[in-house]
Amino acid sequence: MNSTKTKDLVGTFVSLLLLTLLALPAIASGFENESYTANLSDSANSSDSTAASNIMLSILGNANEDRTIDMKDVEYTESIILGSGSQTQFTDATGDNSVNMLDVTKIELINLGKAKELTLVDRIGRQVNVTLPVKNIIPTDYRTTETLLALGTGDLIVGVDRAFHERMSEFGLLDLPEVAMHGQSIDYEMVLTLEPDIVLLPLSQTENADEIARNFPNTAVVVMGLSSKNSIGSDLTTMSFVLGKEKEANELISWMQGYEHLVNERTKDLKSDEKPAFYYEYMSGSEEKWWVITPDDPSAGQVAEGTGGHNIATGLAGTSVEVDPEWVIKRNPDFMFADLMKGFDSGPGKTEKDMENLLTEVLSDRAGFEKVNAVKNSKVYLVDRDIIGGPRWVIGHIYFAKCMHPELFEDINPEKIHKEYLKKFHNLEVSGTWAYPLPE
Amino acid sequence: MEKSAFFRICFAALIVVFAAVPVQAQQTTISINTPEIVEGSTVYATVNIDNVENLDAGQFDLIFNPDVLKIIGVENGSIGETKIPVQWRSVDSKTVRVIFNLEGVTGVSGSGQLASIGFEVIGDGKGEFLISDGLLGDTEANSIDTDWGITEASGIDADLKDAEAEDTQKTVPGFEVVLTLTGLTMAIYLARSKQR
Repeated sequence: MNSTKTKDLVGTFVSLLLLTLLALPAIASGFENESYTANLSDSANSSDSTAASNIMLSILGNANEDRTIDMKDVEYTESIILGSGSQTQFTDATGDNSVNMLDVTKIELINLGKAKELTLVDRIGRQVNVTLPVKNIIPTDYRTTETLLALGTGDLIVGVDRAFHERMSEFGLLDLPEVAMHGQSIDYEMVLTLEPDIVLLPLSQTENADEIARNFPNTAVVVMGLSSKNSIGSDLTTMSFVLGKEKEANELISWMQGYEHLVNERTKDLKSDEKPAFYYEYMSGSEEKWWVITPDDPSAGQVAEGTGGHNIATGLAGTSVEVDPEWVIKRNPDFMFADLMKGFDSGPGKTEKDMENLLTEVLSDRAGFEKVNAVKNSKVYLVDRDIIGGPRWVIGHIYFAKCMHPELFEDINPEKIHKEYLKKFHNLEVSGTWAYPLPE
Repeated sequence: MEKSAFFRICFAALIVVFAAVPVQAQQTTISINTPEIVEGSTVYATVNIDNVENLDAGQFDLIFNPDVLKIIGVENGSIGETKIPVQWRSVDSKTVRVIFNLEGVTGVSGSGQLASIGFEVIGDGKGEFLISDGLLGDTEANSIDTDWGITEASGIDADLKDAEAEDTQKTVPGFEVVLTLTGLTMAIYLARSKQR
């Protein structure tokens, strides 16, 4: 009888304990329903994005809009909450449309490397949440892949585009699956199989980004301009922050800025009549059409700007415009630069002889061009796109400047700078010819 | 046997009720310790906090009668040994905004004071305080559910706020669940007792 009573008592206690434990979440949720959510005044519209030339970290929490997230952002956000600071585009670190002390904590979490997620604003203004740490990534454009490799993130890349294997095999990753072609024709099934944390799209996929993102609900689909001169600084800064490669990115950016500064310093005092006219032809030799690259082109067009010359396409609407041969002849440019975008005829493995033959080919069947100053004075140059896009844009930039002003750049050899880049950021030694001829 | 069963049921019900009470007490609450207002004196309104977990940062506005009180400063609070470092600014003549952010993101738990706000009593009259736009955040940058009590002023009449608070107490679904489960247990137990 005593034994039965004891069992009954124990059973009762166990039951009650279980019931109590079961009831706890329900009780707690009851209080959650009554939660008080403070909402400081929704600040006015965020500021407009800064000029593309200004390097800025585009991650929510970068309240003071510099190149990193640190305690200065904490102080800045606190000043906004106290009413003495102005709200900026990235102040709302939590992305809840309110600037309050929760943002301060989120900024501290990011600064201390303890944030489990952050929100970046991609090149086209989309807010994208990224779960941290990023374990794998798929760049869908080969120039983006090169830029990521320069940051030392090769171990994070789990897929590439076909163009990377075809045109940049010198960088390796040959065993990785191909999931796209130059940012397009994405193999959704393959990408889903690889389960990337981030899929990087080039600017050419701007209009399709949201549609592509819908196919990858568990992946951060981000549009970044990592191959374009105008956007590579800021987008490198943002992506490197997400990937934990800030130091590497700063080194790469400093390297680019150093040479850009050098060109600027040496050409800035040139007077207008000391700046020769140049014609920059798009996709030379690839088809029968004639296209000219304008300064509005954020990549090639901008690379040629600030190099001590005057683009004869200045003022034309668009980034590359179809023109008649007569249009070129009439403007009689002093220099002609032929853009080699295909990537098969120049670059790795090509000799100067190969390039000389290519130059002859490019200039063939151009009736009337013999009268053009550039041709008459042998000032026609071939430029591979590899040294126009991605981090190597600055090599093309120097090349343009040296071609037009060899006297100002006697001590500068673009070829050596190219080798320096490959060794310093990729630990590669690659023979080839990316520009021809090299000005004396 | 029936007497024994009745005793056990009562005992069980009591345990359930007591088990639920501490959960209710875990609600973070804010209150103001309002001093006696005497013209010509300096008084301190203390903002107290109870039962907070992992507190990292927060903010609130304190509204007062500017005809009676003039703010002279805000002093740091503390929870246990942890200092609550505050910053403040007068939003207007009757409102002071207070923010605080603990060092790092380790947070603090327990009860204590968030801040102590000093006033000079410059006039005669009602010197009541109201808290508005309060927010507490934890170490994961999430908002902490907080009972700001009747000190919250958000345009709702104070009496109405009291009534709402009472309703809240009455309609907590967790208690319904507990009572239902208790009833079920009692029924099962009685049934089993009769079988014996």
